[in-house]
Amino acid sequence: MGFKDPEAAESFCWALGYAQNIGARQQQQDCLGAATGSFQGKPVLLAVLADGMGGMKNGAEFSRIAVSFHVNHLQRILDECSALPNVLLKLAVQANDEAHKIYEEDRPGGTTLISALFSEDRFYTLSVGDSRICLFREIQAHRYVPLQLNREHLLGAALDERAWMGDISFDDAKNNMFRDSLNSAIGDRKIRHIDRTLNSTRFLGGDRLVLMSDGIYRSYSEMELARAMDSEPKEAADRIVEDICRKKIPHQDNMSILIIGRKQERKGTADV
Amino acid sequence: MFNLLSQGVGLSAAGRTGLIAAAIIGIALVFFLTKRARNIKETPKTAPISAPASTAASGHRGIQIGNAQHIGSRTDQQDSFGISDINKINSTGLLAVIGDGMGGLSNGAAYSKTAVQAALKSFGDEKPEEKDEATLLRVLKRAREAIEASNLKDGGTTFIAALIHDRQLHFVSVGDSRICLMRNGGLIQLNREHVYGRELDDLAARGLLSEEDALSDQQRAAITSYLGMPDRLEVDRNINAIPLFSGDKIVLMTDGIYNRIAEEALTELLRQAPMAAAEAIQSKILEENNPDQDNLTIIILEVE
Repeated sequence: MGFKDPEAAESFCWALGYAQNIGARQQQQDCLGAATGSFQGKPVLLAVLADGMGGMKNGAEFSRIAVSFHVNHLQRILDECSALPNVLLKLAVQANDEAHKIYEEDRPGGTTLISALFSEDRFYTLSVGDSRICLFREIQAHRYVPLQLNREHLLGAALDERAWMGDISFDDAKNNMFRDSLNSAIGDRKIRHIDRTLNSTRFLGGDRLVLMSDGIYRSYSEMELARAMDSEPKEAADRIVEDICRKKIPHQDNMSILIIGRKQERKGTADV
Repeated sequence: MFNLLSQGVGLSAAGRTGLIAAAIIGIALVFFLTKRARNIKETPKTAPISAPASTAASGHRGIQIGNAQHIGSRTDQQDSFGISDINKINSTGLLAVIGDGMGGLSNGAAYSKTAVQAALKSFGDEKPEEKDEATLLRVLKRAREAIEASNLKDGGTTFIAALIHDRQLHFVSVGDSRICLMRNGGLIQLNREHVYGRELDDLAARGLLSEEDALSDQQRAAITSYLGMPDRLEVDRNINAIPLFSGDKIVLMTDGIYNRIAEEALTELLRQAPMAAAEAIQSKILEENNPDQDNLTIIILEVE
């Protein structure tokens, strides 16, 4: 885990909660972190999560490098960029360069990466791999509903698309042996696909932005997550991980979740 | 299947025949669309069809629909849009489609109309066991094939399509038109625009271009994926279905809308019922009397 000035986040307008568990695995290959910074005189909050590739060696090291790079270099990148949307992109690209150095030492590996950057009441997101970014919004008192914001980089989905567009046959798409793999990750020479927002999204009072690894969402449904959002981020994160542990799912993957909320405000309607 | 299509022109003779045979609700929907068509500068090629005005044609069985279209300050209407047969919402779902023909290239109007018509026609061919995700890819494929099979050259169109089925949303997007979700008073853009600015930012992030040059490049807003392009198409879509809840509004719009109205104003106007909201948004934009106002098209689908 990497956190830089998490208390500072609370002193602005954000409330953070996070939780992790190794699950039934032998090694924790997830990593998560947060940091605050300043962009053109205004405070910003960065949240980042990475899920090291379990099937590849060195996954834990890749995720740690990716997250710690984000946390430690946030202010430098903020100072270099003149447009906020580019901050997450530059962090991801440079974190990838740093992680790829391990590859060059003949220690292959990779990690997913999801990140969110908040400024005032708006945020941007970036995603590589199959970790998830979801926005939970309160539509009635104590009732939250989910919305997945990012695209998962799954080779199978990309193959299906190519088949429909006539680039490959449907049989080739269906029978590709790597169909269940990711088609983009941090650690390659160049990141193949990046999903990111160019335009910011307004973060309403009561909203919860959730960053989570697949160890969470494969074991806990969207509606279970939604029910858990009716509490402060820290309590929600702890409850979710505890609930999953209680399920005693065989081969349970590493779990990591990071929840951001607006401090103190839990309104059922938007701020206008 | 009854297709609703507007590009500032009316329906063909075959279309009128089909309309007469259509359900009362479908005819009333046409009435509302041709009423919208009166807003454009050019005269519709066919006369609007009269129909009982009392029919609640703006929605049916759980979805309220609103739409607006205007030529703006341009000489041609190059946007096209359509909505599938609302009588089939409970079986195959509801499909809404918009195409924004490339204004800077010739035949933009024909491109968008061809794409939208083919998409709606294809939607009616859906097999019962077909997943919504596959339906949208098939619809996109047919739209693309229709353009390739036509005599159209040197043009293109954006393409956005939203399918609501069993209170779940799937969408597909090519180009820079937008699909948004309005949920509890806040607007969330769902799709990613295919614009050259993304590539410029990537070059800047890798140190191959200065950020200043990337941000100031005149081609930054140029579209990098569109139907009609000879190269490999880049498609944006959601893989996992988006669950919808009462009060959610799906908003499809061309850049003639979102480039001319601030998010705050748009969000405020979207609080109204879909048709009132669509008309209010159009009015708000046209009030500015911008001499460079692009064609504008918007569809609003509210989940009851």
